[in-house]
Parts: sequence; structure tokens; C-alpha cells
Amino acid sequence: MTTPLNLRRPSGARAFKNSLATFGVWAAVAIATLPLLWILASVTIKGAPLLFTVGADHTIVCVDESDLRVPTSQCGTEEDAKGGTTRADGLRWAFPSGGKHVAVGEKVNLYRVDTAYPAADHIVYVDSDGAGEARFFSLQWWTSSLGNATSKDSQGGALQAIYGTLLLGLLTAAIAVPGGMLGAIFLVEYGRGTRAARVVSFMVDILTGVPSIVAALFVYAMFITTFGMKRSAIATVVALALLMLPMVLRSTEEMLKLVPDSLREAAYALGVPKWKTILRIVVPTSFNGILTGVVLGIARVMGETAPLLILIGYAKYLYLDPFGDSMGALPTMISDGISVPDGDAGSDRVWAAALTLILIVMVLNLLARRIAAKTKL
Amino acid sequence: MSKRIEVRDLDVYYGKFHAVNQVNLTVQPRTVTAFIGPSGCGKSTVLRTLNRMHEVIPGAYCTGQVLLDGTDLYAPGVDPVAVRRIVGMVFQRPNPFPSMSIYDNVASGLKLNGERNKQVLDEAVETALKGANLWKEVKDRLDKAGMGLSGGQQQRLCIARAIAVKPEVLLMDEPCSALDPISTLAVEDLIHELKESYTVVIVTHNMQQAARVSDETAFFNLKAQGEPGHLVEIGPTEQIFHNPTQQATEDYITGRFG
Repeated sequence: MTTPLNLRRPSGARAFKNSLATFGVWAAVAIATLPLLWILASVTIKGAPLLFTVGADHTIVCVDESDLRVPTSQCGTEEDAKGGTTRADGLRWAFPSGGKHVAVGEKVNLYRVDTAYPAADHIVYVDSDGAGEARFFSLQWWTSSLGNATSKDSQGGALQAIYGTLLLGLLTAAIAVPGGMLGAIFLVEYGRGTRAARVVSFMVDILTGVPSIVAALFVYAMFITTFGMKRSAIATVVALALLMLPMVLRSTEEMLKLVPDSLREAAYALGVPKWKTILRIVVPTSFNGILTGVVLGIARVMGETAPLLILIGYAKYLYLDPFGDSMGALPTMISDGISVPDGDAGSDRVWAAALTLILIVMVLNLLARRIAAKTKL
Repeated sequence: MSKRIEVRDLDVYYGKFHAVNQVNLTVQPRTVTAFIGPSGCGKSTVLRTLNRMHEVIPGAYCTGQVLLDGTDLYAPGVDPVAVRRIVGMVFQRPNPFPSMSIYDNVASGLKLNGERNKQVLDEAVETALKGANLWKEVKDRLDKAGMGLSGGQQQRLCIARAIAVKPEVLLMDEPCSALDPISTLAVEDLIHELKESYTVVIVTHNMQQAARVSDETAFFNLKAQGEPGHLVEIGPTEQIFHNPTQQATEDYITGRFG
């Protein structure tokens, strides 16, 4: 007697549990991705315009004797403004500082009291309240530093911060990549199973768990308190390298471990010395993975804020010297700009800086992919 | 371009484990010698001691002598790297370098040992690929990845890579065990041709293969698992397969065990 095979789909409680599991997976995906997409979208929407445009240099409005704004038409037209003449006594043209949000009847914080038309690129003749939103195409964001622009100004770029971030990232990589790779090569190729390797591995584990602010404080205590050095980009780089080194080391180690021993043996059997085997066979074979780890490390380090706050002053002007005591960087530009009142002309700079940071990391990633694709046969 | 190998009183250890006990054998130049025997009997281990490849495994060492035309490979001051330039090796699984093209794979031994002359490399690659019966198949795609070839082609690529550095001896550790019958045939034909200019030692699990390709056969055995392996007998293949002097050899050959 044979029992018929049960080949039907599960139903009832079993089916419910299955669908619940499926739902759970999708919910987890949504929870993980939606906030990310939301952040990306808001950063892009608010920040993107600043990357390629600038606001007006000045707005011109009409004020009375007590510096209260009156409707612009009482002073006259744009032609009158250029001529410096007004159509009514007691009224004059004025350039308010950060004047885009000065309402009629509000006291104008005068930027310039003379009525001579200023020589500047972009002037918006404010005809109605809340004007001055006009933006003009410009690469100022990339080509000039923030300078003395305040939160009321819509001018000003981020060159100093972009330069600082790139320099810090590059110098950090210059220390952490060779260090991390050599460490990984030691762990995988030379030290396997030895006491020294266990010690190194343990140290790296500890270093991985060090919060960035602690690394910064360590460098501060050592270089600045103990040896009396100045705060500088170099000190920051040391702290950042402490954070990046274990990342590069661990990812490189994993990649080197993936290289099959048969390849090493093949090279040895050709009479190739060990160091050359590592350099020309093992590392090239795992090159793509190592590169990915390096790029991730640089991305993480570029966004690191705590060491910058402790070890270097934030500068609004472009300082090239890595030994100087202040330098702009995108994370500190964000933390510096976040206190700006919402609605000010410069309030979107933090978003633009964030977007710039994301873009730099993205470009780095694409570059790495391009290099990786080229090395692949 | 071929040398006589003499192994005298060879004992191999992996750490505390005694893997091979007292091996004495002679391999004549320009012959193919096959090592056969059950798993764990130490035939691969003995093969690896012929170019000191066993030293790659941590803790492995050996005592005794391996003489290559009278020169002891284990004499003090002998560089294992230099030994491996003279005694090449082909492994069980094809292992072309994945980051290299076919050309670079074959040229790798020379390139990594400092040869930069393009003309020399070109000639060496062509000679080696022709020697490995692979030239016709790959001559139009030398710049393609070595990993893109079929298993049998990859193995012949590895043989080409091994002979490109012009070794005196070629060791083969079960070179066909990962290959299909057609590829196996191609490699076996190749071994026959390699015999003209190299001393070849081949480890194989396949007794028919040993009978087909070798001039001499050495049978290794072990008393029990965990015991060291030893050489039972070595002699002309014809004799080992038809008229062995040892009972164990006959049992193994006739399929009574192993």
C-alpha cells in the first residue's frame, strides 16, 4: 500500500508564515534603503543648485529716512536705480546685506548707503517682496573659497574645503595604504601562525574599535600636549591614518587570503623568490579587492569630522600649507554652517558641501572601478 | 637538458609526523618515471622533495640526499629558489595566473626572473607553447586571459609555463586527474614528446596512465594509515606491471587493494 506523495503548495498557517517571512525581508530592505534614498534626495535637491550657480551679488531695494523698506515702485524703475535717482523725496535706493528676505515695512540692515550702482556681476532689482531668488550659472563653488561670505551672502564657494578634504584624504591614504598592505602581507604571507602575527592581529582589532575622537585625542595628547607641536593638517592626517590603517589592513588581508595557494606554488615552482611572488602574482591577483577596500577607507576618512574639530582649525580661506594650523574641509564646513538660520541665503551651503563630499567619494569609486576594469583581462 | 636524479635514504616529516621512510631510487635522464601507489603513501611528498617544494608547507623537512647529477639539493647553502629553476613542476589542478594573459603566463617564469628582452620572450613563448602542443590553438589570442581556456588547455598552458624556463627536470603531480579523457590523451602525448629533452617524473593514480606513459615505475605503499609510506620497488614499467618482485605490488596492480 502506497501513500500518495504530497506535492501541494503549503496552505493555512504554513503559508501565512512563509508570506510573513517574505514580507519581513522586504520590510527590512525598505527600512534600510528608504532613509538612504531620502537623505540622498534631500541633499541633492537642496545642495545641487549651489554647485553650478550663484545668487545675486546684491539686491537693490527702496527705503525711507528711517531705513524701513517701502515698495520698490515708489523709488522708481530699474532705470532710476541705475541713475541713482528716486521719484519721491525722502526715499533712496539701498543695498541691504543678505537682503533677499527683507519685507516691506521692515528695517533694512544696510549694506551700503550710497546709491552708486555697485560694480558687480549680478544685481537683482527687487521689485517685489522676497525677490532676489534669481540664480546665475557659475562654477564659483568649485573655483573660489568661501572667504568672508556670511550666511546672508549667497556668494562664495567651497574650494578651500574641497582642497582640504582631498589633501587630507590623499595624505592619509599615502600613509595608511602602504602600512595596511604591508601589515596584511606580513599577516598572510610571512607571519601565519606565529606569535608576532597574533599580536599584530590583536592590535589591529583594538585599533578597529577605537572611536575617531579617541584617535584624535591620542594624537592631540602626543603631538600637541607632549611634543608642543601646533595643530596642523599633518596631525590630523596621523589621526585619520590610525582610523584607516586597520580598515585597509583587514580588507587587504581578506583579499590575500582568497588567493589560492596553488598560485603561490606555481610561482615558486618556476624559481620565483617569495617576495617577487607576492609582489607580482599574489597582489595583482587580488588587486581589485584591495582597491575596493582602499577606496572605502578613503571615503570613510574623508567624511570623518571629529579629528578635524580637534586637530585643525576650520578656515574659510584657501590655505595650501599642510603644516599650517587651519584648513577648510567639507565635514567641518558642514558643521560650521549648520548653525545658520534656516532661510538665509547661505543656509543651503551645508547641503551643497554634503553633496560635494558624496560626489567626491562617487568619483573615487568610479575611478577605482575604471582602474580595476583595465587591469582585468 | 636533462639530469639524473638519485635519492638516497630520504625521510620526510611534516612536523612530528613521519610521512615517508627511507626512500632510495634513481631516475635516469630522458626517461619518464611514474610514481604509483595508494593515497597517503607519500608519492606526492617524495616528488615534492625533488625540487624542495615540500618546504612551502610549514613544518615540513626531510633528511637524506637528493642528488641531481651528483649535486646534493639539500647541501648547506643551496637556495631552494635556484633548485626550482632547474627542476620545474606541474600541478594536479591547472593553475594559470588569473591576472595574466596567455602570453604573460608562459613568459612569467622568465619575466619574473628578470628577462626583459621582448624578442627573447617572444621566442621562448612560442617554443614553449609549441612544446606543449598548444601553439596552434592559442597563437591568435595570446593576449587573452589564460583562465579563459578549457581545463585541458589550461593544463598544457601550465606545462608550457613550466618548460619555458628551460628546466632540467619536469615533475608532474597527477597532471591529468582534473582533466577529461581527450585532454588527458593530449597531455600524455605531450609527455612522450617531453621525454626527448627532459627527465620527467610523474605521480599518477591511474595505473593505465602509468603503463602508457612511463619507462620506469616506482610503487609506493604504506603499512597502515598513520604509518610512514615507503618505496616498495622500482623497475622498468613492463616488469612492474607483468612480473613484479613484491607481492604487495602485484596485489595493487591487479586491483586486489588500493
